Amino acid sequence: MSLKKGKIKNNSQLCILIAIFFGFFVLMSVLMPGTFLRLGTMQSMMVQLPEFGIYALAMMFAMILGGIDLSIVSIGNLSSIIASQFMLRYMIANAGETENLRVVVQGICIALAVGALCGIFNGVSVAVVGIPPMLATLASMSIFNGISTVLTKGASLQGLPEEYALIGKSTLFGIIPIIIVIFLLAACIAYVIQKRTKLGMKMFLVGSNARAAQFSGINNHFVIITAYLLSGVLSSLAGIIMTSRSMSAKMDYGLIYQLQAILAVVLGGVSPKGGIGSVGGVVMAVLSLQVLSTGLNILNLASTSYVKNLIWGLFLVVVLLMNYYADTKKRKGKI
Amino acid sequence: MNTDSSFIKLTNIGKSFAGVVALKGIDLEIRPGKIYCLMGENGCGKSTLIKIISGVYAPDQGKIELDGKLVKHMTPKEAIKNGIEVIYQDFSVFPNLTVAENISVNTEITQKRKAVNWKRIYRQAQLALDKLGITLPLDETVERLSVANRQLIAISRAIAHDARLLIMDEPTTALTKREVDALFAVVKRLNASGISIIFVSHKLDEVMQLSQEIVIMRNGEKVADGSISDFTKEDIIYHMTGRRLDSTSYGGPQSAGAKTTLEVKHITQKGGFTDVSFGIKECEIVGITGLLGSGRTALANALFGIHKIDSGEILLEGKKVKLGSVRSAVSNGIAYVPEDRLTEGLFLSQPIGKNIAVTVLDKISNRIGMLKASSIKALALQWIETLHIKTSSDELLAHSLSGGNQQKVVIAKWLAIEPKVLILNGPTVGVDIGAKTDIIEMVKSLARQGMSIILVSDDVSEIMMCCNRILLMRSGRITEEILTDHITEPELYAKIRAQEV
Amino acid sequence: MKKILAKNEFYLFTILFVICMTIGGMNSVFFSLGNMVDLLRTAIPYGIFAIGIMIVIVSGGIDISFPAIATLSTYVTLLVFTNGNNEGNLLLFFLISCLIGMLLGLVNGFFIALFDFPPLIVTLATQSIYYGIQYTFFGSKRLTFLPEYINAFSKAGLFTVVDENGMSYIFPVYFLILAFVLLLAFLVLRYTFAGRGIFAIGGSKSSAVRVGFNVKLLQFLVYGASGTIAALGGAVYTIMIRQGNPASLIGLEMTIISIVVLGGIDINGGKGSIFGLILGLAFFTVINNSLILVGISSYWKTLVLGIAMYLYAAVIAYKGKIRDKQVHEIDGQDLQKKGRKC
Repeated sequence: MSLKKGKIKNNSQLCILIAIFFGFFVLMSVLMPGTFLRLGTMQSMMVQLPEFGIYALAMMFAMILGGIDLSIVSIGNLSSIIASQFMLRYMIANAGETENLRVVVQGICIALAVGALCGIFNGVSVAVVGIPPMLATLASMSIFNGISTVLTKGASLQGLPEEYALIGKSTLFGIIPIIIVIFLLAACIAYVIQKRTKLGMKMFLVGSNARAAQFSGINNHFVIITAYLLSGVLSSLAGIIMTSRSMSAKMDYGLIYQLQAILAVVLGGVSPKGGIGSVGGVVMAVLSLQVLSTGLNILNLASTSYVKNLIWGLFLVVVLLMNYYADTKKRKGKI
Repeated sequence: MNTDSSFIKLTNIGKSFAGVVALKGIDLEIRPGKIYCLMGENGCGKSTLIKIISGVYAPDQGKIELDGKLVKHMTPKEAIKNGIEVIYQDFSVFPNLTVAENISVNTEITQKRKAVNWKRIYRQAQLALDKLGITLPLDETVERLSVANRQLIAISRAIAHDARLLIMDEPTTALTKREVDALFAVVKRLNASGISIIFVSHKLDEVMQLSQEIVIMRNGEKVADGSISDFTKEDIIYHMTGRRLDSTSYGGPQSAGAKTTLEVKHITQKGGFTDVSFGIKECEIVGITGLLGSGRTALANALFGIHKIDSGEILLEGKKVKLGSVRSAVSNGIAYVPEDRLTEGLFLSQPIGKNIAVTVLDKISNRIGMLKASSIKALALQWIETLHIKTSSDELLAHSLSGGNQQKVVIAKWLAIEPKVLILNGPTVGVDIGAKTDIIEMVKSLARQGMSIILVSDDVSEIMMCCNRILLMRSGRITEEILTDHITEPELYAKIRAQEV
Repeated sequence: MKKILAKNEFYLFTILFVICMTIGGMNSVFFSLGNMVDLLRTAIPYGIFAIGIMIVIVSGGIDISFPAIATLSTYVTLLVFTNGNNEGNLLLFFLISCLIGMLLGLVNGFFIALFDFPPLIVTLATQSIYYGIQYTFFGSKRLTFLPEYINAFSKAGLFTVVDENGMSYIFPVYFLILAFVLLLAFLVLRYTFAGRGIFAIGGSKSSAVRVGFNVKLLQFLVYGASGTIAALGGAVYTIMIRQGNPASLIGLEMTIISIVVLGGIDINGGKGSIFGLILGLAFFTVINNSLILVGISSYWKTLVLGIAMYLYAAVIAYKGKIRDKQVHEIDGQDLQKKGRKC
């Protein structure tokens, strides 16, 4: 009985997010049909959203375990810096249209591999060394940022091969940016891993009670390291998208995403204590936040992009309060 | 102080939560200088009653009198002011603070201190320790102390200012026998100085040993009370459960040709146990008992691969195996129901289904590790039915179950791997007597079907009811092997106690 | 047992000593009075911020909204004072900043104490909100024409050191603010019952409730204090750089938390000392400013700090594991079931 209520509650957070998303979407469409419902607006949303969305997915993998990953953006930057340096070193200057394609593909693979390594480093720190996740990733954030700074001397890397820009620029059928497809694909894969595989189920179980997981024959170390590895790979993917869009790499790009990712994940119904959450919730949170900020922009309420911060922060507080009252009601009903 | 007049008198106390009656018509009288024992199954209203006495809950009806004066509205602060102190199971100590601070903190709060005078704090703490007649290092942080010492700190704190009634909620759960004796000495000393004690416990032997008066509750009502000398053990169990306990022993189908499933030879683990050898056959239930700290849990953990053994060998059906991890134990068909259900056995925030399926994820997933929700559900429903787990759905969180049903979920998850050897460590601790009978019957029937079962327990009657053989452990060694048929319950009890150095 | 408690701090002290000796041995400038004055001066705002965060972390919480609080409170105060001509005075500048900071901090405390929301999430939200308010309503323009008394205070020195090259180093008066807050925090944490209550909550919140501490009030106050100290730090920083720059503190939260952690304050709450905090601050300041003296490019400092912090955290984690194991061996079962945050 109480669990059915619990289920409804989890779903209700998703319902709230969906309602907010569509409500705001419809509101904007009615208020500003001319500006909001334009292809350009839709496209710009689809272009802005993926890098943040993928960082949020990366954060989610750590938080399902009851941990946190403060190094995601640093991983994204480090991996794209190393990849950029590789591409800059091996690309052919003044080359024809597709001559550098091979270098670009190699560069992307390198970025993903660096992301994986960074993730494994975090995972080992948490699982094997036993450092609390917050500390481990705070230190590794500093280490990854430090490596990036040493590699670039703090400068931004430019002059990447033209082909690299294709990731950020290409569209499907000339309308849908390829990067939103990448984001949705990443979300689908994350969903399948979390809800349809034994590995994903083990992540939830370890997040719920690590000791009981050990006593049930789960290899906690493996599960934790894999989760942080996935988090690292996703982070480097976000880094690739970010560098491709700006055609440059720098150690302090997108730092704001670090904390915003936590915000989106919590908004999406993931419990900071671990063991609870769904990809659907996180995706809806990311979409809602995007529609909210684009809408504000169009309504000219957003003179600077920072009004977004204000609204997002308030949004999070409101959702926290709604959950709180839902919980209290439930508790009162139970006793 | 006149011992005839009561310190607290409760008359016709009733309390309900959202329509569910937790207490009804409770009359209770606490007289100065008496030791009371409050008994009852889980959920019988014991803790509600304690909370009413200590002012945490206000009763819906009935009256409370303190020293013959009617108290209209009792609050926790008022209770403390009147000398009513509760020591909870977790002792409410601060692991990061020193012993002195932990002991003085209550007094400081009642005296509404604003500034901290370290000299005063140490003086107060020393005074409280002197009252109990014990010594503890005042400037040590509590996290470095043993559980027993933490409890002494909680008691010292409670009596640091003038306590008149001390309520102790299951104070002996985590103590060794010797520590229990030390605790009882302290309690008797306090009692002699005129402090009343309410002692909540499940352990019959302790109750018989310590208390003068007994109060038994069932379903929110007081069903019996009186002087302890008027009750036998059987009476107490009868009043608590409302039925007589079936105390037939297992006996078990012992044929001479039964195969030996598990055999250990001279296994040793540093700090855990030394030179342990024994074997167990099909259909056999072997009990391992001994005092807390005798190495019984270390042995069970080692057989399940949680901590490695340093020397010796383990044979499974005649073949030598290495148990380096839980997974290797599980793949060899060894299952383990751990001592602490909540922290080691269950995923409270997860559905019952996942709690059961956790051990067989490899079996019910396909080659690339994909799972079907339907296969988890089928598995869960099967076990919910087999073990009579009381729940309306397999999707309910483990959190929502009662202690006994939670334990059944833990057992189900291990039966799902169809183990050859099942190790149960204190399977009925904190489980009410109804569910206890269920679990004991289940264990026996599993053995009849051929499973080898190792039952680690300090509950003598449980061991006597279940086991064919009993291994007695002491300071890490097996000191004696006894056939259940050759010993009686009191004799076994005496043997365990005789191990006390 | 004081020794046992101080052990982490002792290690840090030894390492710090070795580093200082190495740097000083390679370049005598390090130990020159001028350099020392310079190091102390740069440490001031970090030190003030770190005290606020330390108090929060000891109480078992965390506050990542403090850079936003510092920015918003000082900026608003500056706006008020620069609108006319040199209105107000120094004391008023500090008072109003701190008052705003305290209010913003109490908002955090309100949500954390009353609703029991996770501090990380609450302060994440309020950080977003405070920065949002700053940029939406007050803009991002740098304020460079500050009232005269602020400029004057910025240049006021307790004493001045002149080295052989004729370079003069002013030891600023506002160092006294750091010293004062350090002393105050030490006294409050050690000699007031509220201070011990903060440690008690950090050690075990449920025990604190049962024993009768007013946990909600204490938490409320802790975040109020954190907000106040953040605003004070922001004001001092503004005075130091002689401008109001809304962007200058962005991202500082992670740096300050690193300093606090390096100072041996347990991120899980309940443990830490002002002495440790000072060591952590010294360690950070030396690495952050003095690597250049031994010919290591300043690009390396983030990496060096990261590695130092990692090793430190790893050593503490390892010591914890050893202790758990010993407890296991003594009792034959794990008594440390507190369940470390995973």
